[in-house]
Amino acid sequence: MIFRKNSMLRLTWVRLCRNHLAIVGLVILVALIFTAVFADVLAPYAYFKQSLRERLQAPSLSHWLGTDEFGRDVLSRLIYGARVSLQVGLVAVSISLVLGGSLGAIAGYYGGKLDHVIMRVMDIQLSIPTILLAIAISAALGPGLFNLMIAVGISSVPAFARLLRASVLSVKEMEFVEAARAMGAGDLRIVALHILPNCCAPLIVQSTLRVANAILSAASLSFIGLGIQPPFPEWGGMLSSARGYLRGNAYLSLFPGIAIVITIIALNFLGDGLRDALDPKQKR
Amino acid sequence: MLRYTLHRILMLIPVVVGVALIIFTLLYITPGDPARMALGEDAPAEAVEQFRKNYGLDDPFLIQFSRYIYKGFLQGDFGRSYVTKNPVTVELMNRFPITLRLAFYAVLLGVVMGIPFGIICAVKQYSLFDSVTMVLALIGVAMPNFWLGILLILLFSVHLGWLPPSGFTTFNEMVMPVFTLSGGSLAIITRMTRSSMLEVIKADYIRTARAKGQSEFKIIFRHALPNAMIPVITIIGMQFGTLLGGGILTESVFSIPGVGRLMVESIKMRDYPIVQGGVLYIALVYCFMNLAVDLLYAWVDPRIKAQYR
Repeated sequence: MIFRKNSMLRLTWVRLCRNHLAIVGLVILVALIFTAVFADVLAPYAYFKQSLRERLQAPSLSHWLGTDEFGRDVLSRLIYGARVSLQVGLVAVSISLVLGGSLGAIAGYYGGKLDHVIMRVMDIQLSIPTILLAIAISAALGPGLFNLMIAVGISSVPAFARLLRASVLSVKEMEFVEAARAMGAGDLRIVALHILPNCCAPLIVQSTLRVANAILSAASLSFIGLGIQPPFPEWGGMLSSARGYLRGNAYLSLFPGIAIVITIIALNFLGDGLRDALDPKQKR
Repeated sequence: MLRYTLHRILMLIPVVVGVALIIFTLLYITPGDPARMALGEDAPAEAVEQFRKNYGLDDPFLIQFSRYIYKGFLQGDFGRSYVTKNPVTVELMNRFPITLRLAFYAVLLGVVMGIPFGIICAVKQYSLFDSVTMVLALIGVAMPNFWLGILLILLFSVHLGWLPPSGFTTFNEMVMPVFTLSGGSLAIITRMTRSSMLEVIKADYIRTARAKGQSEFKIIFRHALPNAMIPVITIIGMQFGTLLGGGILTESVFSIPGVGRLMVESIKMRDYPIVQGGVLYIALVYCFMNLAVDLLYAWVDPRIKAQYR
């Protein structure tokens, strides 16, 4: 990577590198993204390929993690599952980032009545537990990958709205904003070019941690049968169908769970590391 | 304090109506005709017509919503289930105590174990106990609670045969669900207590207490703990809501007949009045919990009390 000398990005990167846990998280994530992108090449079998003669086989050389109740290769399904989980996590967080972020920025920048209305609406949404709201939304939208993303995304809009509002409030009174306004910049330009770049640090941290939450929510929804439907591999959904085979085929309910936990831990490591690296003053 | 309490109680009204509006709108725009779902695909047109009329499904949105609010909050009538034809209130009331108990025990477990663990970790920072607890807490936060439940069933029911894998009446049946639901919260409360304690212990007034020769026990429990508890109380209040929602998953892992399972079943059968009622009930309880936490907060923290003199 090319950095300008002592740029913010470079300093952050150097500080991040000193944090071993964050690097572990980053490496795991890169590996996961690699797996997700090249799932077609990496998976030994197709995720939907059934073979009833080979159903419910324990891990072996031909099926490293065994086969499920339809004789499908568990490893291949886990690999494709990584693609689904990461997709849901990233898209859902992008949805809440764009929606919540703009609402929060508008509330913080304009203030007054508009701020009051937006934040009260966010408070109302916050008084429904997140997972419950996600369940209600996905019940309303019906099952499917895209609807799952929307449900998970909308349910964490208030978190981003609050965060961005707070950051905008702290930045908007600064002199460089006043200078920009004095030079005749419009509201949109001031917010997009002058205020937002200064709110990036908490936003990046929050987004990383929220991807973890989104993946957990998506797995939960699929587990109770609301998210992604059976033939499609999703870690939560795989755990749900493995529940019928606890006696004798315990491995079926082990591997998807391990995959979820590793992903979440990696994201949490990276998120915490980024927080420390981006804001060394507030080291926790 | 009284003014603050009244203010907070009045603030609850728009929140409750807002929550009702969100849930009502969500299920209103849901594709699929509940009349067809309740009566079956090949029901005669007149029966469908009659059903729609009985449940007021043909009225405009605002009329339906106002009726829902009016009947619900002033008469306690949240409609009837499309499937069992029982009043929603009755269906929920049968199940709600179980869900509430589950969430309550889970919070209790989180508090009773999490706070002492957090304190010990903070006092003995970097000790073996601290490291082990922090690693477990790390995993606890990352673990979906339904998987924790499955693992517990695998170990204690399938392999060891010590605990029953389902139900929620006897103590033995309750152990695993409560621990399952509590797992994440326990981890979060432990971590929060630890970091909050560590921060407070570094404060100047603690050094002063040490300097004047106060005993270590008194320093921790008299001087440090009350101040360290303020952020922990907030977290505990927030956890209660998470646990009420998370109970849905725990209930479905352990086949517990609570509101969560009822809602999951109702969603599959498109029994909207039950779903609406369920979400509203949980949100209401959550709001009251938050209110209680905020009042407790104001009581603990004189700075907030002072604002409302």
